[in-house]
Amino acid sequence: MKIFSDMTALMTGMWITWKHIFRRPVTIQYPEQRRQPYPRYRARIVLTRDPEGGERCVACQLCSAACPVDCISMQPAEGDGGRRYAEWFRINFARCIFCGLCAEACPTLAIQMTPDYEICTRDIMNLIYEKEDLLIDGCGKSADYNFYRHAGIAVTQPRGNGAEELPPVDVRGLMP
Amino acid sequence: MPKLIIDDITVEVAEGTTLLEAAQSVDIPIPHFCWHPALGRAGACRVCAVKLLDGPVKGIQMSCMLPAQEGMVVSTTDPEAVAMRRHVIEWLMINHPHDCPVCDEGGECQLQDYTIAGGHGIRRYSGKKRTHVNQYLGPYIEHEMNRCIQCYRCVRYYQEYAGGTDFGVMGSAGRVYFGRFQEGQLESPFSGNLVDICPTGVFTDKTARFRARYWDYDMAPSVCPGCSLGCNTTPVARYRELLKTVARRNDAVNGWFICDRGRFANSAVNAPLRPRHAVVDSRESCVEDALDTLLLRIHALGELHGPGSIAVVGSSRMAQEAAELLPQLALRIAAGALCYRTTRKESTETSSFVELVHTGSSASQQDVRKSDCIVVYGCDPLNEAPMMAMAIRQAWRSGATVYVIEHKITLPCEFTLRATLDDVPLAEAERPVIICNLSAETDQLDKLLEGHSRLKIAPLFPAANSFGTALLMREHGAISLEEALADGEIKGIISIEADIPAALLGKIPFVAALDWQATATVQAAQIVIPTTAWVEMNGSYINYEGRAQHFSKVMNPGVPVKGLDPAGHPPHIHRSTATGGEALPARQLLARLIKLLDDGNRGLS
Amino acid sequence: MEQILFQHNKPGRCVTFAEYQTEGGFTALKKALAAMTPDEVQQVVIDSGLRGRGGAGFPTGKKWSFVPRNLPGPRWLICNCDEMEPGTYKDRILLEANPYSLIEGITLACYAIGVRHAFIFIRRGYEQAAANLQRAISEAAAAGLLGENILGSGFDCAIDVHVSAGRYICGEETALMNALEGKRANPRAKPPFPAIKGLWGGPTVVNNVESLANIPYIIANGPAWFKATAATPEAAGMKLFCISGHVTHPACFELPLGMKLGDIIGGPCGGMRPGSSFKACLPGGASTPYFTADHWNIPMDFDPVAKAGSRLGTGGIVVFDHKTCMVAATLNLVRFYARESCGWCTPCREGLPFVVNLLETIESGQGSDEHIEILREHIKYLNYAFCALAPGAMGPVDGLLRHFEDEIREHNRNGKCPCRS
Repeated sequence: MKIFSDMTALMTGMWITWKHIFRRPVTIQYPEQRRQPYPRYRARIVLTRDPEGGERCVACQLCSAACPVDCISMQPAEGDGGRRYAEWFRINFARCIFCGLCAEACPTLAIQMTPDYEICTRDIMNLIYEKEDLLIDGCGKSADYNFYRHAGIAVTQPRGNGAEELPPVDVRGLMP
Repeated sequence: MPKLIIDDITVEVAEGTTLLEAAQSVDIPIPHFCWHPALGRAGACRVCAVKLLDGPVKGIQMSCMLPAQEGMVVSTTDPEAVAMRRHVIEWLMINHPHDCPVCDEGGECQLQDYTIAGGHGIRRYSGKKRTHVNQYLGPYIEHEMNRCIQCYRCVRYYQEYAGGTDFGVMGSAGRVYFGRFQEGQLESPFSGNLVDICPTGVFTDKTARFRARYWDYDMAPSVCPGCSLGCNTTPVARYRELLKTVARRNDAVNGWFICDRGRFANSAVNAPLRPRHAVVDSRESCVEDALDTLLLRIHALGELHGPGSIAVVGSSRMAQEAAELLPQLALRIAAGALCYRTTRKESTETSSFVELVHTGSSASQQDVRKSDCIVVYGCDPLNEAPMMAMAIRQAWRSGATVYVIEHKITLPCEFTLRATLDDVPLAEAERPVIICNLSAETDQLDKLLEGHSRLKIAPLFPAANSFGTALLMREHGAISLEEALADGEIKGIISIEADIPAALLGKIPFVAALDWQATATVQAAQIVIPTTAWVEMNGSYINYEGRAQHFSKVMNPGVPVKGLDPAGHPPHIHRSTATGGEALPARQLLARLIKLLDDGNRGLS
Repeated sequence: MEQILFQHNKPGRCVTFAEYQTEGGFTALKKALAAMTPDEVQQVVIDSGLRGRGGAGFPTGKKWSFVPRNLPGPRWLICNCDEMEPGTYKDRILLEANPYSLIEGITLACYAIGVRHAFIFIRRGYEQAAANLQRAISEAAAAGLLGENILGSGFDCAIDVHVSAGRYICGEETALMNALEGKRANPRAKPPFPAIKGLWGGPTVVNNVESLANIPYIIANGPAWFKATAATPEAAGMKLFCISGHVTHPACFELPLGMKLGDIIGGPCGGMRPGSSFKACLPGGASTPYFTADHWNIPMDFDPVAKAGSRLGTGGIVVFDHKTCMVAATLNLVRFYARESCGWCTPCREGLPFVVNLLETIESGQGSDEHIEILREHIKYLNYAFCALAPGAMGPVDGLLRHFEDEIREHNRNGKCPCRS
């Protein structure tokens, strides 16, 4: 009879609801409990330093060119010993979509993404991070690489002493 | 006219055209380093390899070395040719330093482009890279020899094209070194073109070192304001700072190059002391108020001293559009004088020359380069208009005889001294050209022009728009400021981009200056209104041969972003005009003045 | 065996001017100036089948005929004595024994082509030969056999000896001309060929010492005689073979062209040294692919050697015995070429050091099959360099890959050179 099938439908629904009361909830009670993202999670961007403590960023503008939303801008400048560095470096986090293309483009492993996602603020102008807000003291995810050891412009070592270099040619020498 | 097939496209070219040029004529690009349209072929880099499938020559050949012949069948995409190019890039990469992020050429580097296009990727060479020590070559050019790919363009340009002797190639095999034989500033006044010509970052513009990347540049076609030749340039700006000037190709004018004077003249545009704000009686004001005050003062002067007490003074460095408006302004304020020159001498010299120059009689730089007999008459091209000296050298290289009429000058080529113009065999020449400046006798030149139908002259005027303003002088009967001040009637002047000598300035009680440079006139003026430099506006100049050339706006006027905020980074402030960006083109200011005057005359407020 | 060039050799010293004349020297010059026109002289040389002895093997008379007869302006003859091809020393031996054949040959060549001023471009290091030549020129001039109005014929000819500043690339004819003109010794593009536009823009012929030294004998005895001195009907004349390496008597021998390789090594050279067996040889100087024992019976003439996959070149035979590591030998040869590159074009300047690097890697045992492939690519693509130095440098590498690839693979497999025990 119809009343039996109706009752079955009702009881099935209520059984499912009853079952769920005893299921483990997946909601994490933020901010008392926080989920820990993986190290490669793409959140706040930092500028790292090389193992010798110098700034890695050479202001080559590749991250700025790669950025799909044009949120990175910088001004290159020449520092001591001919070192190229960023005079100022600005990331507009209101624009940033945290895609990681900048980190992928960076040839010196300077710009890297950290799993720190808690950067929201009330005033939108606070989301414009300058170099002093981005620069960290550590090497980030790569502990070994110093771009200037491989570049030819002899900043951290004399000419010819780089990682893949021969001593400089003596132009006036007659020996073959 | 050989006919040949390139990549299934049939093309017919002039005799002697190389395969590379033939391919370019149908928009097929072939990578090349050592070939350059102005320097010719060398065959050194081997990257322009193409495969000839059929015809009088077969196999892999270098397209820049082989002249096109009837019946050739060329493939630029043949796998063997592509592989050859990939190998050449691989060979060049063996010693090329890991510099791209810190190299100024990045983004405009031919080696980068052809590496990506050629398909070379992973390094297979396990040895080390050869390095070089750099040289100090002066304050304008940075030398980084590690990056050299030995295309020999620099030495071919410097020694063959520009006639320099202090720079060359030393050494052999992989150790070849392109530098100055003795370290020091490069002597040639055309050394800046090394920056344009080097396909990698060996020679870079030191004044623009580590400033910006090619894809961020603000660029627009422009004209050099340095002299009356009007060489075509492309100024490069970023963040409201003029970074560098690059040569722009114009086969009729400068060819492929410009001189150092025009290339390294950015400091005036970026000068911190440039007039950026309107100034009235030593107090900062805004442009609107300054214009209103100017009108009041004009009116007051008119009331006090009667009509004809104000002179309108332009100059030969103002753009033609602004110069055209000066007579209209003079008319409306019943000016006592319209001047485009300051001294009487300048004025008389210019007027007589304008009569002389007309279509057919004036020689373009291309005419000079192709001439077979050049006479340098009483001028010093290397100092007055350097690119003209360069053009003379190209004529000499092609076999022309260069005569200099009894004058102690240097030229980048050999020349013969003659006592007078009559001693020069002009009648025997096919394409003779006389180069002179405004000190020459126009009657004599006029007679010569009538007597020789093939003769052309190239009078070197002093400034970028001397010719254009000279035409206006003739049309409106303008006089020089010196003459205007002679009778003491002039009590005030409106000076637009004019450089008035101190002696004359002292005689004028009221000066209103519209200018973009901090000249003595601007210092002495009661009212100063900032105008825009040539890179900050559209306009045109008319060069010495009567060629009108348009220049386009490259950047917005305003204080450069660098140094605006003491914290170092650009300010976090929203505004609609840039700091110090109130400057307007002179023609716009004049137009506003004229409109205000018209509105006033019609009784409008 | 009949000798042409070496017939005047005196033990331990240079032949004197008087001796040379007594033994028949300068009769050819007298005969040509008295009884032959320049065209006839040229035709005799063409008929003789003489081919250039400097390495390229281009028919000498034909090269002379490329110079246009009626072009105004000066024309030049250059004798290329810049003998820097490794394994080649024949010109030195000849000039230290007898400089007069060359002087007479140059004068005859100048007569045939219409040249009034010839240069002998001699390499640095050949001091004795240069001194001999200078002396020979003065002696000939004093005797009226050189200078103005030679033998009253109205023909003028002057010869100057120019000592090179000393690089291998100066042996390349267009680089030689640049060096003579005082410029950097980079080769020039061909066309225009030197016969049309060479030294200072004028028609120029560049010939090797040995080629020119043969001319007097060809003129004196006729082209048929010259042809008959060879060992085979297709070959013409005799050749100075300079043998070095692991043979009993390494020396310079004048032997008929077309003589078999085995007969040369087994005959005058006295076979391999005791304790050595033949492994390979360079048939014509360092820029030719190797010959192995398979080529023992190849006639040493231009065409047969070319057909067998190598080049006769200068005839400088370098013999390697069974103890030689072919990889090390090739590395040694390519190192020379990499060092001597002039630096003009990319393949030679950068490609040769790459090949050196590859061979070093293989020789030290760190090579892999990939390196063999890269070597093969280089053999192919270094052919497209600006001049013949780079393709020549890859000759031994080509020979290595063709005949001794298993030796390379053994290096790779063992991780060290198998010849070093």
